[in-house]
Amino acid sequence: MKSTSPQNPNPLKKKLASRFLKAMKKLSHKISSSPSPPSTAERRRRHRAVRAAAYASMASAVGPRRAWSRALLRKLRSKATATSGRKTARRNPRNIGTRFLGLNELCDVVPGGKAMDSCSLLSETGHYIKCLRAQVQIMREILDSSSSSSSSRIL
Amino acid sequence: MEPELGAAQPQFRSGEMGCAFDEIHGLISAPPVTGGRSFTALLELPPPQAVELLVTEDFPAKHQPPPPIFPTDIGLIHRASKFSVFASADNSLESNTILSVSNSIKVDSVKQEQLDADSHRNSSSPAGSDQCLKSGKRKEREKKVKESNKKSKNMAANEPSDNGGGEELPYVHVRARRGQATDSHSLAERARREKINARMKLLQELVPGCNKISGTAMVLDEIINHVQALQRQVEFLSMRLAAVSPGIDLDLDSLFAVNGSSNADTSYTGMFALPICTEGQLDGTRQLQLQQLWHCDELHQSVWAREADTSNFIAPANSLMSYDSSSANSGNPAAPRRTTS
Repeated sequence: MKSTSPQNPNPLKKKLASRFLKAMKKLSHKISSSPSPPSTAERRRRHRAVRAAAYASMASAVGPRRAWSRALLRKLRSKATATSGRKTARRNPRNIGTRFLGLNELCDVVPGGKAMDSCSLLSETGHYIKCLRAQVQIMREILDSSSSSSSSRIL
Repeated sequence: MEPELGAAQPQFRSGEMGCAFDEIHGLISAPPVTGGRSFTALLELPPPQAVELLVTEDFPAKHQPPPPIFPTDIGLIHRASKFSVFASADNSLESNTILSVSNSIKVDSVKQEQLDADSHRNSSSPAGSDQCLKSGKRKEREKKVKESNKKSKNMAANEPSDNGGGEELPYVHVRARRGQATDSHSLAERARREKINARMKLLQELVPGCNKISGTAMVLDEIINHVQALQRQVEFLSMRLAAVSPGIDLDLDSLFAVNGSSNADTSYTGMFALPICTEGQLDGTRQLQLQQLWHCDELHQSVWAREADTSNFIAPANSLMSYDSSSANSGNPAAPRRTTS
């Protein structure tokens, strides 16, 4: 799938990683200031913040060229401003008629999918899958490195 | 044919001409294929190259270096010739070589009047005016050029009607394949459908385990499942990271990890199969969730099985030995997903 071997980090992954690490650093500064045993609500908030940071870094790393990254950033920004109650103007589903059934589910999953025609939806999905995969790898590597380092400290 | 091409090689300008020439050269070296292939012949290409082709056809004016390997598809030759022909101003010689190249592959007949028109145009060039005329007419009639023709208004590589320098004809004639409707609507629909099929094929390559499935609906289901699973993984990993987060030295170690690690990254389900239990941060609910995790693991066996293609679960030794006080895999795949954006 990827043309580069796992040893050779592809540029997309590097970009994603750098952005995500920056975001995580920002978050960890915030976290370290608070008292160490976190309550459940606090934990949940942190979780949501990390998740938002992951998606935000992913979307900003790919840039505005992709429709899904634009839609994702829009969604994140609207969430951040806490306007969940506001009903955004729904675009007319002019594309629903031209697409067959599976694509309707796909457009719910992929950010910004509703406003795309079938053709671009499929290509956006492909790119989205690639980026998601890279993001998951990065997060997992961070976790593994942190756990291994801490284990080496303990043992 | 080949020596002609070789002679004409230095004539080509670099850039798009060189690109087109590379295309043609690759085409020549490949074994010839009977003409009349459809756009779906593009699908025989390895997917990234197919995408490139698709993109290039959408934007014929863009300079994109095409991949070096092509099947000998007539449409490609014509597209290449089209790029080169209308990109250059005084290219009688080059167009001749291109046309003669395409001639070597297609064996249709040609109207005679076009021959004459072409011979007028290519008065200076000695290299087979007949050939270029034949292939020029062929280019006209080729259906596969239709899509790019539709997009690049009159810039099809047809013989000039009046002037000797320009290469554009005011009209594009397209012949549809046998047994298919010829009105513009159905042609457009067919082009669109083929585009969609090409993208679907790319997605099939991207998602593991989709190659064996036949039928669009199932493939789409697979893709949707894959995307949802990836989003769930992001969710769980973010939960873990949030728990670990204060303890992480994010600068050096993580960079080393990202750049140099060759872990079992390809296993998407490993983390779910191996919860890393710690006593530090697990409260009662988390323990319960872990139990449920194991339980639900069986329920979602099919999903994991689909994804664990490499069957390369994260090295158990590493995970189990890391009694990290803060890392806890407390995800529950069966739990209703919170709105992941």
